[in-house]
Amino acid sequence: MHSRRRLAIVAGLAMLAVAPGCSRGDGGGGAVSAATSPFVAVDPASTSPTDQAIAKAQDRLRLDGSDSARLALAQAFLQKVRETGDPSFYTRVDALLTETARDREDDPLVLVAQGALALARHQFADALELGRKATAAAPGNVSALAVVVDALNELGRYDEALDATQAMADARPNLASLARVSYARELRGDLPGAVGAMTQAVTAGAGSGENVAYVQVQLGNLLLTSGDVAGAEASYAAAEESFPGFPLAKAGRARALVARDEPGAAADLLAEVVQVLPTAEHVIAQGDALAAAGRPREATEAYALVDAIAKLYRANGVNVDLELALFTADHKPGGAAVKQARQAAEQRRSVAGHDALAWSLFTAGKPAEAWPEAERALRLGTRDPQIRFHAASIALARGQRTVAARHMAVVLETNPRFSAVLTPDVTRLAGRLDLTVPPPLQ
Amino acid sequence: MRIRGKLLAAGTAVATMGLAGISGGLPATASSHREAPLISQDPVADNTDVYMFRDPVDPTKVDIIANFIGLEQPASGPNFVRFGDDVLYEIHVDNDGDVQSDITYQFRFRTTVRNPNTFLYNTQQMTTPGDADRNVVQTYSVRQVNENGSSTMLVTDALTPPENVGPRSVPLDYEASLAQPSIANLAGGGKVFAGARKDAFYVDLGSVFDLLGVRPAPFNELHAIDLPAEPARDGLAGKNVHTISLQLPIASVTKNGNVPTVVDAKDSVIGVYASTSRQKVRVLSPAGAPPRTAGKWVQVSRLGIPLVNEVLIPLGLKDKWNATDPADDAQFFGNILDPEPAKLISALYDEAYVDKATKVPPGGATNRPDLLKLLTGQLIGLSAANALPPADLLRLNLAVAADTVGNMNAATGRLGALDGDAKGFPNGRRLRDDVVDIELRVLSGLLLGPPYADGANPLLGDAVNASDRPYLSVFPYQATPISGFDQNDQADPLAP
Repeated sequence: MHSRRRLAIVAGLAMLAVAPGCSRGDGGGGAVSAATSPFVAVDPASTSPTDQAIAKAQDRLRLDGSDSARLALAQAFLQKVRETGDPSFYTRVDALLTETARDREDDPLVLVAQGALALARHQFADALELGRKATAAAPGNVSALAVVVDALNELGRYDEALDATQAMADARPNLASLARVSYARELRGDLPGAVGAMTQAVTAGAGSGENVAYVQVQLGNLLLTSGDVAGAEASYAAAEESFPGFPLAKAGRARALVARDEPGAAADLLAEVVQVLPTAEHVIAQGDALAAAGRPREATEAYALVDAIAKLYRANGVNVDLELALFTADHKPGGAAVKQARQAAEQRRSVAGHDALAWSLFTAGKPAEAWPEAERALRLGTRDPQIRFHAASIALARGQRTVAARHMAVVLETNPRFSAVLTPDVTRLAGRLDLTVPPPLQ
Repeated sequence: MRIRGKLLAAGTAVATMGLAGISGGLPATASSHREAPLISQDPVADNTDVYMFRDPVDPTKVDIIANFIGLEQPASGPNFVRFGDDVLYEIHVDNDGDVQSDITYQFRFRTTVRNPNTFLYNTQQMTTPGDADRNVVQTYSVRQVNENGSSTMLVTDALTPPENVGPRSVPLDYEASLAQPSIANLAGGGKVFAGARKDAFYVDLGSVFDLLGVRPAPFNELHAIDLPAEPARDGLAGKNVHTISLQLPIASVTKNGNVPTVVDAKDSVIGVYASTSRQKVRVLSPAGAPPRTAGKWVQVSRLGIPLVNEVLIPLGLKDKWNATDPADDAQFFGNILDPEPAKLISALYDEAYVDKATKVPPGGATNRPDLLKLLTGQLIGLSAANALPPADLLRLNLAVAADTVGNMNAATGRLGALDGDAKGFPNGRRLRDDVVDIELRVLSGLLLGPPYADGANPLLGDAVNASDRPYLSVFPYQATPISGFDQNDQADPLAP
């Protein structure tokens, strides 16, 4: 059963990679290669608004070949990736936007779309430049500011990101800006403040489907990290009600199940998520849950997909170094893992970048080199339990017992079951520090 | 008409669809970074239409209606959409022609869930607005703020009516048992109603927003892109909306405190716009104290004339536009007086709508005096000498007699001033005024005279000429909301 499912996913990934869409009609011109063709087959019976938007924009593009049709199609494709995780659309979006920008290089809408693509591909320096151009072309435009905020955060330029976030909130306190206010507070370890702003984002987004479901999942994650598993589950359930079938809400419920020490149920839920959204993040979480549930063979199968997914993303221009660095550090520790993490951290001097480098150095047996990186990951005061666990492990390895206990206390206060597969390590480390992991909620 | 009007600018329409609607955010992929939506829809704070007309029943009153939350499906339970408790709703009145708010009506809502242990909107039948079996209750207050900063509370704890869930939840006539009893009296005279209504607006959303198409003959054949002809469809048929409706003594809103009688006088005209705001948020608090929502409000939406924000302001500038006041409109006149849709009409209806002699569309910042007249009140009885400063305010000349209640659903006169009827748009806006047809014709240059007033231009329209439900002959005038039970998803959209 599970093998068959895995084969289906592998086959699906392979198809995405090699045969990205048979073209419908010849409106794109015969010379256009399959990977960049704007024309993909759409099931005419599909009731998905995104599929309908794709079909409509393609029809218009065939009819009038206009830039506005190209822009609309690019946006529909970006949404399609959001729903399916199929990165082959990025290449198509790139081609569409390059063509559109030829005559409309200063159009803020085109610049924002290009910025969105750069963010999605984790090309944050490019995204920052595009976002700045867009804000210059359209002062006060909130989506242009959002591109700037996201890029600065991922580049680790937090002071500038903070100013841009405040400018965005001042321009328009809506779901998009309040979600970023929440993230700014979360990064700085202010979980109640982050929960407050994310709650405001949910309120401000009332009635807007996928958008509000997205922030309800974020709110669930914050509540989970605040030790409120029941509240988190309620928020994930609300997200599924706002946008039925939302895979990120299911993935959230799986995290809550892990926090309740039910990795088997979490793995089954993640199997459903992966069917819809086969991203590295979810496949890794599935593998972890399977491993923790005592299903090592299935876990190995899930982990085996990570490489294929990574290749697919890289082939479509997505930089996944940082996303894979922790996975590599855990599964293949050593020099290569450190090199990958260092490369990622050089491009993204963010909290996550430094944490990944710290952990890869630690698992490669270099706690002394790891510690300065851990300190950089902690520089804003994050209470993220995974980052705190990494810091505690490194500190103890360096003999800094008090420091380790301080970070470990945060892990226990927030969510000691942040990872299905690391829970035994967390318990062991707590024991060495004479601390006790509280029992899971039932 | 924010939601649909946006799309009238079809050149940018597709972009709106993508950014604001479908692709509300960034792709979620294998990543550790946050992907909150870049642009978010904001239906609760989205002002869809403003109407204003002298009361057809009581000649001493004026009605001002602001609608929010467009395209509501009646069967949206159990979590029916409601006004935002976090939103400040305002209706602004300028009564001395200086484009500043002289009187502002502020509306704040508060929701109470009586029994948090049920997901249901109501647990038994509801026969009164405050029925104990109504689980979700939203109340509101109305405060009047004057230009000098003084303010008066006009009503507190007014009830919104329960949603029109269906005949089992609402056993009695909805209008008589729940809606009319929810109308509250205001201190100083006047009434207020806030709650769901059948949306008064009508337009062929699907076709007009698809590159300004018109489904039936003769315009269908004139479009640059061929499609088979078919009957028009009202995209607002069967859709509800949330309204804040005011009925005020005319004497309480005019500069001189009377009912004006001289048409060509500045003081006879009031200008109105509606806005929504959210409280300012500090990302981090200055001294490490818990972050708080500050007292100040940030405006997120405004609407006056049913044309300007949606059609004439480019998408990239909309956030800025929505954050500013009509007094700041001069910076946008380049967009307003050289309207992009006019160029689009010319491009899409090549033979029908350009100056056939010169092939020049009616554009250019200096050659649209007709639109300038619309913005200065010269189309509603003011002479050039008495013209008001141009601004996006829905203006009503109160010295013009009221329409009769018998005309509320009249088949004729939907074109207001274009029909020679001074009681309709752009002199205020009645519920039945066909602003889509009026605007399409005005944009195509009808008021400029020949050659734009010749040929097909005077006939341009979306072929939807009335709402699917008749308006009421009593306040709040918009029709009773369609019940969730009566929503018909199976209906054949092609049925006549």
